[in-house]
Amino acid sequence: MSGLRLLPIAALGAFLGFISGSQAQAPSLDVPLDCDLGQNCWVASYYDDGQFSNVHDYLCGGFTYPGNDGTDFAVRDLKAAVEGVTVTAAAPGEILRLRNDMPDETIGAAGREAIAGRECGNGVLIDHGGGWQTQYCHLRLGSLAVREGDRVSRGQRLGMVGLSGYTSFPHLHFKLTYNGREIDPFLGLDTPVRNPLAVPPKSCTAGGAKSLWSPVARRSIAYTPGIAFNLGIVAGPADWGSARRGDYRDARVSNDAEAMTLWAEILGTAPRSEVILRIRGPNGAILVEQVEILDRLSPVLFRTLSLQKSGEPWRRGTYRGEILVNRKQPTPGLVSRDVAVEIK
Amino acid sequence: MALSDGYPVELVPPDISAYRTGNTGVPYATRIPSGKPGPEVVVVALTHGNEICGAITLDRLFRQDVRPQIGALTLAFANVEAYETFDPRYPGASRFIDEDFNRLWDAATLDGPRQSLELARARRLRAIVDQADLLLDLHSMQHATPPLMLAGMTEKSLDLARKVGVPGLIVRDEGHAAGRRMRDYGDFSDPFSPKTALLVECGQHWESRSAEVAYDTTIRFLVSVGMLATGNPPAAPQQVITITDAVTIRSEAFEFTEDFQGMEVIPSAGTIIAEDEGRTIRTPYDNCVLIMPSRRLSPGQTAVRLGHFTG
Repeated sequence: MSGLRLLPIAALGAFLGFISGSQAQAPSLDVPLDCDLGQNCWVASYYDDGQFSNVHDYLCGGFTYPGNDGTDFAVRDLKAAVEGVTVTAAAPGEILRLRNDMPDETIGAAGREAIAGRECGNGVLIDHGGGWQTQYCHLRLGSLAVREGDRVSRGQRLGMVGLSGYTSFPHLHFKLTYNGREIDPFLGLDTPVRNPLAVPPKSCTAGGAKSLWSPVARRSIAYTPGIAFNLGIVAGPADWGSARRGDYRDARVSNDAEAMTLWAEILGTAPRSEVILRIRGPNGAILVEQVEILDRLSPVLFRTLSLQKSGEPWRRGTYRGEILVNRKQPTPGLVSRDVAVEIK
Repeated sequence: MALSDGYPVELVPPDISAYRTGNTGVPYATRIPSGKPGPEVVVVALTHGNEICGAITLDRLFRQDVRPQIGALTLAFANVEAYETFDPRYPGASRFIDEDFNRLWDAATLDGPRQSLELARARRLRAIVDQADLLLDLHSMQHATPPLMLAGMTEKSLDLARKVGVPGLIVRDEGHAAGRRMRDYGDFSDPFSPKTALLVECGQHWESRSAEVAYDTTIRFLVSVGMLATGNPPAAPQQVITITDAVTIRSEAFEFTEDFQGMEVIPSAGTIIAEDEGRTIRTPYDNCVLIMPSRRLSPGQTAVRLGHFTG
């Protein structure tokens, strides 16, 4: 009889790389989108692990919203959603339920009452066995590629990111449950049970040791509040609605443009964060800079920095826009992105 | 106790009949396109028929032949039927005909079966508001207190109010129990949506200064959103008041303990400010600011909002 056969069940699980108990049967989750996280899709909001007003994500930051029962993955803009971003199964399982008939429109246009009970919009519910289920919400009308009862494999296409249900921007809301209980995939079974009578703890302890994300997913899901997920440089002024629609994609700046504007949508900024916008000229020199210290937490910010032409045409060459967000909490960190425009 | 009244009517309501036809298919709504890409911006006047500073501002913009440099600007007069009943002898009587136009702005009410003159108008104007990326709603107040910008609770509207730079007071609030305001409608209240709306209270309804505040604020708003090219001159630092409580009237017996005008700072928590059929209304904390105490003390309506300085 080999020693292996004599190992207790829990120890065997540990030996095989599982965690323990019920979590041993938990699915290992891949990122449920066919995209490059940090490049063309981003975590827009994490699960809310707090109680009542004590809202916080798994690292005790404010990169969530009250009662968020899932993880939200955003794409750059509406144009990106129209071009198509595929939603995929995070783990193997069986399609339990789906909906595929709701229009792609913002909650403001649809009205909360009109979608009551159907807040998920077009979506898919997958049963992974052992009490574990995942739900995929706000998919594009008519995009579902599966049927009830189908067996799906990890990474199999389910549908496309859309704008259905309770949403105001194109994104995937990804929800995990265990026997009906909402689970933060970053905390696994360490997720605090939501209890309206609970007294919020005075301090928050960052978690994540029992993350259910797969090793591949963990490498790509960096914690990047303050990331400029949508940015560019346009001639003239820039407005948020046009940026969100994707109207500034492929924008050109001519050498006689009156002004150029660096613009950015920035996710999850915390109080006391320093937000820096810069435009550098073809020789690398800073032509204009704007520094702002935020006094409030914001799920998404739109910021612009304009540079007026000073009489002469713009010097030809590459102009570079930089967005830097230096956060102080929950842990210090600097995230930056840049964008370039060529003036010919 | 009786509340003060009797503010002189200094403003003359303009004749807006020339704007009836418009060009949007919605009477009294005129869209002025720039021919260039950019935001759909809407400025609304006469959400309340007796708040005439907004009508004066839009009339002035039309006469100046205002032209946006990007996107499109729509100028809309909302509750014109109430406005047309304005009589300077009874200046408070023309706020609305059937019901408050600014308590109807949720999909359930707008899509519902209920009928009123204001609902019919709101249903027509909704197409304009639905298209708006940015909206400014021009109002005035019962009492002669400093102008203020009602910015809702989202960071995006606070950002826009700060960009506009005036008035000196920004008030962050959730709205009214009696119904949703246009400012809070749809995506305007969604922190993830770019759509943003502001409501400015320009001063006392009929004081001449309110028309200047409305015009100045509108120009600065249009500059802030890129519609007009001129830069905004620097403005004094703004203060932010966050509303924590809206006192909703329960009974006809509601009565304030003093003739509050608004912007009073009550030093001590627990100070009684009103009685309402056995219910005593007390300030919940020290240095509580009273915002826009109402003279229309009807059950279901907001009597006063309570806030504190937060920035």
